[in-house]
Amino acid sequence: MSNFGEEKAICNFCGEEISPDAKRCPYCGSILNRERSLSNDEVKNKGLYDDGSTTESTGSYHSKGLIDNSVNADIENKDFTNEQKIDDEINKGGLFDTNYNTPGEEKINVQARKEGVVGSGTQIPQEQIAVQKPAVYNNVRPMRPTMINTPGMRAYAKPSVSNAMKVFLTSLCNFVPGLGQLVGAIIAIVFVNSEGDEDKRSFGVALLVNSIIVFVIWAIFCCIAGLLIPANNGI
Amino acid sequence: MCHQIQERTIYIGEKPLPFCARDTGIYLGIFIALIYCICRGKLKSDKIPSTRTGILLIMLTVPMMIDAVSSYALIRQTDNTVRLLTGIFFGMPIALFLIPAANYKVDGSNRLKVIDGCVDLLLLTFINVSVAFIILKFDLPAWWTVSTACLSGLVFIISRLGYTVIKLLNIGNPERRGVYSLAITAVTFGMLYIFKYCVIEWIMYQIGDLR
Repeated sequence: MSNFGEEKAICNFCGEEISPDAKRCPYCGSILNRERSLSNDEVKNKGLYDDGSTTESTGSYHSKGLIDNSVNADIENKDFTNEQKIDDEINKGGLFDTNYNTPGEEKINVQARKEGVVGSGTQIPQEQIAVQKPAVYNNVRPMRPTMINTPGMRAYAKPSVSNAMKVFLTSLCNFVPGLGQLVGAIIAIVFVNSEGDEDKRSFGVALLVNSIIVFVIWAIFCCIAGLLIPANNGI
Repeated sequence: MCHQIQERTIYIGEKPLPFCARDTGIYLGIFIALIYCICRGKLKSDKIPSTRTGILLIMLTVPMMIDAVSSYALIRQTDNTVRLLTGIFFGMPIALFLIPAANYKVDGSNRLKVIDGCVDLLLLTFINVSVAFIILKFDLPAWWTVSTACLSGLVFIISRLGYTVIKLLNIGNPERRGVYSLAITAVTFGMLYIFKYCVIEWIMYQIGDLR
């Protein structure tokens, strides 16, 4: 808990260390949408709770002393923002599986069914939800997805074709009639078939479509130009 | 999309085709490649041909360019047979590149190749040459069949180009991209019609005055 204040997050776009509560990266200016990156699957995979489950029994809170009001207040003061995000996810029904119950909760369910409160596990009493909710007070919190290894980040970090080269190839393809489009299309095919380089492939497919469109435009232009030559009745 | 000069147009029976020989070849090549892809279930293909096959396909477009430029520069004379054949080989690769370009995913998860290799390419080439041969030497296909095929090729190439650009630029609602591409096709045809009567007709009139 003492590390809460020192924790740093990584910008999804430039990879710099930033404040975990920042909504905009101070280095690259990108808007950080962390709520979206905190998906249910990621939280479950990374382990929201100590025991690997998505819920925690009431007994474990008492044994760890996490129900203590002073501890709760401490956590709430230091990391209210993160807790609010997790609460939002819980309210959406994402962070814990309502069909999964620990043995302690199963007892509550059995008793509730006897009293006719819960029908075949579809309804959960408010008390039970209240018991499940404090699981976020557990010290082990979801890891922030850094997205360093995402395709977009890799492409940003290691552009294989420089912008100058892209401009040159596009200009060559657009302004040299016929031959430019041929060269552009061949380079595009080589780029599109390159392995493990999304930037190249993305540029390649754009260059290919551009080559075809420009070729059609040049063909129409040449056709009109051919009509202008008196000895030539069109190409 | 065509100058429609009668000396450069193929006749079936007594009727001239709606496009000149070269354009007939281009649109016919596109149409045959499209039908080939439909028959082999490759219309939703997302993988561009391999580098070797791709370069071979691009090389197929070179004869038409040489033929057009050399006749344009008055270096040599050409005839309708050469125009039709070179046009067919020019149109075929365009369709084979445009079909997967629209479905292409940059994350590398593309699986279905539009053309499997040189054997596929040879088969498609053989079909194209056979169709050209039938059109040139026999009056076997009805006029409306060839005309409809050419027109379908033209409509397909314009709508597919529009669709591909919309998809690459990620414009509008993804579920309505088909409607957008049809709208683009309609607008393109309208603009070409206006262009023909405002620009081409004027050019032809000026040329008539010069002569």
